[in-house]
Amino acid sequence: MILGVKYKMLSTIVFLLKKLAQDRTALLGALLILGLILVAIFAQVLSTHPEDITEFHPPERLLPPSSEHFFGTDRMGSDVYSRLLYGARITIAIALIAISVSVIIGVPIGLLAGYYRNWFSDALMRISDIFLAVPQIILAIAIAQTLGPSIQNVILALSATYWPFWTRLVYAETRSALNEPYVEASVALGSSPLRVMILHVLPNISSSIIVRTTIGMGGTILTAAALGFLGLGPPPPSPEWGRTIAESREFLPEAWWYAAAPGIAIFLVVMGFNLLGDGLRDILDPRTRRSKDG
Amino acid sequence: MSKNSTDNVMDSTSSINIGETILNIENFSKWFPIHNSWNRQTGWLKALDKVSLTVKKGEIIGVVGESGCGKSTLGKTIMGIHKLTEGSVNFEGSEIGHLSPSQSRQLRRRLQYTYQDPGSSLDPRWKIGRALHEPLEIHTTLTKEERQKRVSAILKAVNLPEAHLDLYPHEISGGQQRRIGLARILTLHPSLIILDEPTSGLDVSVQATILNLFLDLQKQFDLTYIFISHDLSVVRMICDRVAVMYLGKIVEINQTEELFSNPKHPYTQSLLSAIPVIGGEKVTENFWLEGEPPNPSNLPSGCSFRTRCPKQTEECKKSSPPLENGQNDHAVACFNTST
Amino acid sequence: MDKKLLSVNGLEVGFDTDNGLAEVLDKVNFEMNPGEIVGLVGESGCGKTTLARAILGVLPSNSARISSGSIIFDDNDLLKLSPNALASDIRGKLITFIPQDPLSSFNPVFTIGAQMMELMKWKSPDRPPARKFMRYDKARKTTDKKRILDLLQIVQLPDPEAILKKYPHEVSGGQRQRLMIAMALLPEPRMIIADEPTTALDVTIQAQILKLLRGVAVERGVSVLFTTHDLGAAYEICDRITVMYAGQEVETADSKDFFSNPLHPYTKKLLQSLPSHSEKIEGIAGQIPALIKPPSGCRFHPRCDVSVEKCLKFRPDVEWPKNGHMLRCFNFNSSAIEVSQNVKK
Repeated sequence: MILGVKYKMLSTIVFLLKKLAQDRTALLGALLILGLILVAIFAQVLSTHPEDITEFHPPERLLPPSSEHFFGTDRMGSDVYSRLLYGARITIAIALIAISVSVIIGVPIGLLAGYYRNWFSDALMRISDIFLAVPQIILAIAIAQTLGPSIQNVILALSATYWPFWTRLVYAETRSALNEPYVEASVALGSSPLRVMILHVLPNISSSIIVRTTIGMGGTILTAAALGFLGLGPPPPSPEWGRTIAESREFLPEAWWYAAAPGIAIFLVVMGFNLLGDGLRDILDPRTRRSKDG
Repeated sequence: MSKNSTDNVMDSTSSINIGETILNIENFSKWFPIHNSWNRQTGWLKALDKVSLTVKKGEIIGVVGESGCGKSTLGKTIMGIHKLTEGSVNFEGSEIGHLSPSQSRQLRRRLQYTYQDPGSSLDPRWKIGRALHEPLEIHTTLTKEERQKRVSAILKAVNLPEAHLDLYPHEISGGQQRRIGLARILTLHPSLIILDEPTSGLDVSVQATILNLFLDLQKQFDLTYIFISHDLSVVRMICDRVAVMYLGKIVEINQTEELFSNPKHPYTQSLLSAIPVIGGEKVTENFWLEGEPPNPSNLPSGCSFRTRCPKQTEECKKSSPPLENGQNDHAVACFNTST
Repeated sequence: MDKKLLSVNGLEVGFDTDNGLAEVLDKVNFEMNPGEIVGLVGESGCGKTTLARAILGVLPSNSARISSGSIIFDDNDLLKLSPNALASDIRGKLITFIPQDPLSSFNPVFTIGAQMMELMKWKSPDRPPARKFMRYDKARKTTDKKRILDLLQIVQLPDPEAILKKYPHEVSGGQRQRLMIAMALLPEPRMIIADEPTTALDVTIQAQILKLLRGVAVERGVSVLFTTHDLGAAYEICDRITVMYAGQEVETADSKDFFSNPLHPYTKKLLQSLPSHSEKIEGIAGQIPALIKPPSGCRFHPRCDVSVEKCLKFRPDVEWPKNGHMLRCFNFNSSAIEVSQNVKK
């Protein structure tokens, strides 16, 4: 059975990849994300000055890009390029964990709220409304002030403010899925609510969740960078991208490479996720597919 | 949710004999609330209004009518898909109308329902084999092998190849989807099946095959059918008795041949005269029924058909004619059938 | 020979799908005379809707491929006209369309009156020859409105003035279909294409609509191309009937001749499978073939009782065994199939 599931997943992924290859912008997005992942994994191999994550060399500060330092050096003399590569790890870690936590919290709440139409589901939705009303930045600042700036607190802040998006989405999708004849048929056959929710509703709304998750990664990365920029992220000497941009401010516009490198990196990664998400939506949402008339 | 281990036995145990009542609905009503744009309730849509019907074991009873007559709602409410507003439903001796879904689950197991659009009644992400196993997983404690045996037997009964178990619903044709839907409920050995528009959307050449299949399955599995359809010619082919519905009420019910050759209710007469008959007189030359059915949320007083009826009298405005029993299971709801 | 209004010759249409090219129309021939109602009959996948759309020029441009053939309408090959010419001069003017589902053909956010006036603005017979920006002056508006109200009366809609102010979802299905008939008649077309116009309607409403459609068509001398899978409806209003199977036209005959004396094996079996109360109905064994790699030669041969070797290799030629009765079959004389007459006395 496990083998069967693995085979099905593999063939679905292969199918997806084939479809993606046909859509050029989505392919671009996928390649960008792939690049990000590879960079993060192989940061050690790819970087020229891996020691610069913790060491610094003041005499070499603020050097422009050269063959030795591809993106120049920062105010502490560290190689911007190498720190950028290690920063990718942080970025991915934050985004991945924050989104996973939000999804794990948000999706079940949305399912339950959507399935049962009573005071309980109303209460759940009102709670999610409250969380949605709070701007992420404000909450993050609050958390950072109380608990101190660190990578865990950034993740905490992001998850706490992001889970309602999934609840909303899943709630709406569950409500419409419950009207589908096959759900009705399953209930008529005697399925319990749990069975209906997990085996029928969830697989059929999974494509919306996947698309939203991919696009959401982009937004999360931006917010994480913003938090880092405000000094609420992992403390120095962490090579987090947002923090690097914040550091570079006083040296602009002369040391342009200092801000440009992390800035462009953030841009490429966010764009990559957005393009990929759009591409996935085109593939997974049958309504936007090319019409087949006959 | 308790699983009944006696279901491991492959036969349908029922103490009801052919010809006895298997289903009885009485004063059966289903009203839907109507809301205006401010979400305030402004009235009721009486989809079913005090319908009474007796179904005998082993028969095929047709329920016909045009859109809005309530035939589909009738099927769904008997099944419990809609909660009934008032009245009673008695199935195989047990009263199931007002029980909650979990209480009635056991009692309802032998009462099943097929959907109008068979493709959409199958989960598009489930392989067909899995969909066929589902009812057995829910209601029985059979092992995987035992379930597989039952599924294979049913698949053979509906004339479909084993290869279909690995396909998805969209990979098979409409007619085959219909058979899978049927197979799925047959795994539970039901005694009464409500077929909701079982031939709609089927090509004519496939229709015949499906109808023959229904008849074969009836013999093989000892089934009773409620056959809901708007296609009168199909109903004539296969049903023993027919009930005609108009705006939530049964207006006439009779043995099939009698109904078709000798309709008494004016609506039945107009309905039958609207059916094109190839080789015969053209319908369009003499068709007399004008206008359209009134708005179901705003029905005329008395008999709902009176606004279009050539025989209407003062009496028709005042009260709604009851479904009167004549001889031989014939009943008509009209004050003026003798004219 | 009267001049033909429409002549489709050797039309070949394919659709690009994920699994290959679906050969939807296989060099189809079809014609219509002025003032006649022709039924295009067949089951799903026969190509009747595609043919209707091809004539209108509204095949999906990203997947449809017209590889050969011509559609001659009034001496013009429609396939050679530019899309602009088709849109402004032919479609909605000389050839109008009644769809199967009238609700989705109306814009839900505009009133019915507004949509009909919009139609008249561009397609009215009074409209001066095309100028990009033209003033829709009051005089024209008044005559057009009167024309609309007259037509609403003709299609037997109660209280036409009130209907103009309503929104599409506020009227019933039968009324919407009458509106579509009215809109199809407004530009005073030569031909109306009605694509399964009564399939979604109740049988009593269908009877009313069929009666109406035939009435107005005959009165105005407008030709109607009526596609349907319902032979009963075709029997009611068509003068001539063409049967299609899996993208090939197989038989054409005058209505009377068609129903009393069908010649093609498929037609015979189709008529036999109609529910009748006197005998056990027969289906046709097998399935309608997929169009991606369709059967060679005559596409019905896998399910045909009288097929011979030739049927696999070649598509039967057009023959005229009787005056006005066209047939494409090599072996129709075989007595293997008996025709059971579905005639009610």
